[in-house]
Amino acid sequence: MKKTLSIFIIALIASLAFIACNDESDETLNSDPITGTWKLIAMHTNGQETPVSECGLMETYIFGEEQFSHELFNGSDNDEGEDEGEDESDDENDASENDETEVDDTPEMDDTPESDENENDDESDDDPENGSNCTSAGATVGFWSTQDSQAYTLTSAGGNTELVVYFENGGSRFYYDHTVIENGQEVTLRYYFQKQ
Amino acid sequence: MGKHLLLFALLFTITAFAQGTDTIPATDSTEVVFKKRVLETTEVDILSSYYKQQGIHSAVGGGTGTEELTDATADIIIAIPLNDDNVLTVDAGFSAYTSASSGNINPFFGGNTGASRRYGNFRDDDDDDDDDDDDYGTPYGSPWVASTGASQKDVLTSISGTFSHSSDDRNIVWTANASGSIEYDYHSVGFGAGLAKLFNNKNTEVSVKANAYLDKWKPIYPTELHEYGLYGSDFLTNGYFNGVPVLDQYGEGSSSYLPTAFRPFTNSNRNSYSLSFGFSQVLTQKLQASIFLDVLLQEGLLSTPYQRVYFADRANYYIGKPQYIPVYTSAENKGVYKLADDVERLPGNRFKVPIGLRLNYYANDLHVVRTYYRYYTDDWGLRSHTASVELPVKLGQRFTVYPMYRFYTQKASDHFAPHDKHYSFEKYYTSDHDLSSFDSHQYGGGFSYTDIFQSFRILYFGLKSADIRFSHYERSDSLSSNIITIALKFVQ
Amino acid sequence: MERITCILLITIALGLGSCSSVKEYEKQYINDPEMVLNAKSSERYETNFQVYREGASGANGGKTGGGCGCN
Repeated sequence: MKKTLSIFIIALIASLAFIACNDESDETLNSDPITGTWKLIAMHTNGQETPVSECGLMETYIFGEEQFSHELFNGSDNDEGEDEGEDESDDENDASENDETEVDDTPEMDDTPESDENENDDESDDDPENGSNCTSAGATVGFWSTQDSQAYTLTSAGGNTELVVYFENGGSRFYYDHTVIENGQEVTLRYYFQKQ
Repeated sequence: MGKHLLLFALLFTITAFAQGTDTIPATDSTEVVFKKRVLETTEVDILSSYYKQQGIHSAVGGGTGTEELTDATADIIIAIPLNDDNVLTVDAGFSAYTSASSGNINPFFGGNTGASRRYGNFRDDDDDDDDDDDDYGTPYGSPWVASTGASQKDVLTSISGTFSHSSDDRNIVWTANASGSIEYDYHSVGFGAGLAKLFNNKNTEVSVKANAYLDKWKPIYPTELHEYGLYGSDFLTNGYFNGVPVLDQYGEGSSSYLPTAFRPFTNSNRNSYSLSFGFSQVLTQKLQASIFLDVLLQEGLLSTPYQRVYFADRANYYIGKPQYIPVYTSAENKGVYKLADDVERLPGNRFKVPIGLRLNYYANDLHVVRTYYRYYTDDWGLRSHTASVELPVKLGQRFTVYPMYRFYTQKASDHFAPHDKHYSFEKYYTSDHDLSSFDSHQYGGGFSYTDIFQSFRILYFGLKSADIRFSHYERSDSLSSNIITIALKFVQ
Repeated sequence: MERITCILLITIALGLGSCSSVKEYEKQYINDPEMVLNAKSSERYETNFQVYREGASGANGGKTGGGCGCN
């Protein structure tokens, strides 16, 4: 009996001794705060809130572990503004300015930034049956890098762009400033993005 | 390892025959004695299970993508006593699965060009096409979204028969078996024979079994590689991809995608030959153990033809919505699919050696301890350990509950690398996470009911036992699953 | 690691070889259905998915491998 018990114990202990635990093999996501999907929720011009059209509010940044994409949307009566690669900031400027001049009486669409349907909007952005006339002006795709999680270098087919972002609300929102000359005067445009 | 194996087999054989020479059963003489039927009456087992799985490392997606899968199975096993000594067992069943992963062999939705035709609709089920096409825009797909092509579901049908003959003294049993199974892209024919000898007052059993499976793939390749195989370097302007924009890593249109590493498999056979040794020993009145040693050789097409591989030293190309390129490997990717560089390539042969040990101990009238351990090694570099314990607890004469736990740890095959980590100069490569390094924990339990008087009867059969079993399985690479099984045994 | 495996297997083989014989009338515990040295029939589907989802197979008294498009 003692011999059989000892064999039993040896077998159990041996099985434990052979166990080699594997580390969790899943890669951990990049912990940079910019990682994620961000949608435009507001715009300020020289500190004053500026209305943004329904199509303008569909502007989206997606930051992955190494790459980013930036997608703009146009209304049905605006087929221009599709300079994708030349200058990142010019693209945003053109789209935003066009959006400002549009009358915001487009058909009802839930464009609340916090709405869960924003993700679905990505899927149906080419779908004329989603209740809006917004169509994608194309997406700029490239690689991003940063040294300090504030100044980001965005490299796309059109070249490099520097984006200095400021995080708010515990990292769930960021904004960046873009200065343009309008009628000989400096105008600061501030774009707020909310994490989805 | 080979020398150790030989040493063990030698000791194993000596031990077995040492047991055998201690006593010579009286029934080896020519004297006629009463012999009990091997199987008194026909027994019917009905088994059924439902399995549901989720994960994030789809092999069809080259190591990334959803692994959602459901599988419903049912089997009927009929054991028929032909006479006092012979039993015929027939096992027939099916397994119907739906897999988001295999649906992405052709992962593309939408499009209004020739690309809207869904390759892979090999069951001529055109209704799916009409329902799913968006009829505008360019095709798109995602390893995180299940395409609804016909490859998403399949049914495996199988049948097998085993004939066993026992000697008059019931100390020698030989068996012969044959089997066949078929699913759309794979069919199998198997056969085998076995011999078991009991001695030492049936306290010791030695068995040897040989089996062979002669299988055949019907290779199905990922859409982009299938088209390249058909049209060669002009494939982007022909067939499925005619008029479909291909994007580079920057989301820009490109005509540079050329998966030159791909070539269709010329040999679609897969053969498996195995030799199994078993040794069981009653150690004490309450303790018995068995050792199993298998030697298995596989040869032929051991790769899975539709499992993608991506090379780190090759540029990436996509079809679909470029804004999702940055989040390709996460579930946020809702509309872009990366085009494969090749399918997995594995060696044309594989030599496997698992060794298992079972130890069962009757602790008392309420508790039994069932334990199992297995060490596995093969020449692909894969090593694993399995350990499980089951603790049946008897609740009266008819009911038993049994919690169980199983631990498994595996070291990756030499040919495995995660998504987009292989290099084009490698000879063999796979991103199938089933061959990666991981640990798994499986826990669950079951409940069984036994009625030796078969009070519940259907036609001529009485229910002898009913068993329901549930377990949850988790792997350290985020794959998890649940399975529930019901087993009913009826006797005539 | 392989040396430890070898020593363990030798120990088990030798240990098993020196066991005494249990008479048939003493096997009331050994013959209990829970003491069977095979996997239960209700375990077969779990074994099936383990064969598909893990690299190892065999050495459980049942199917050793082959007959499926699995590893």
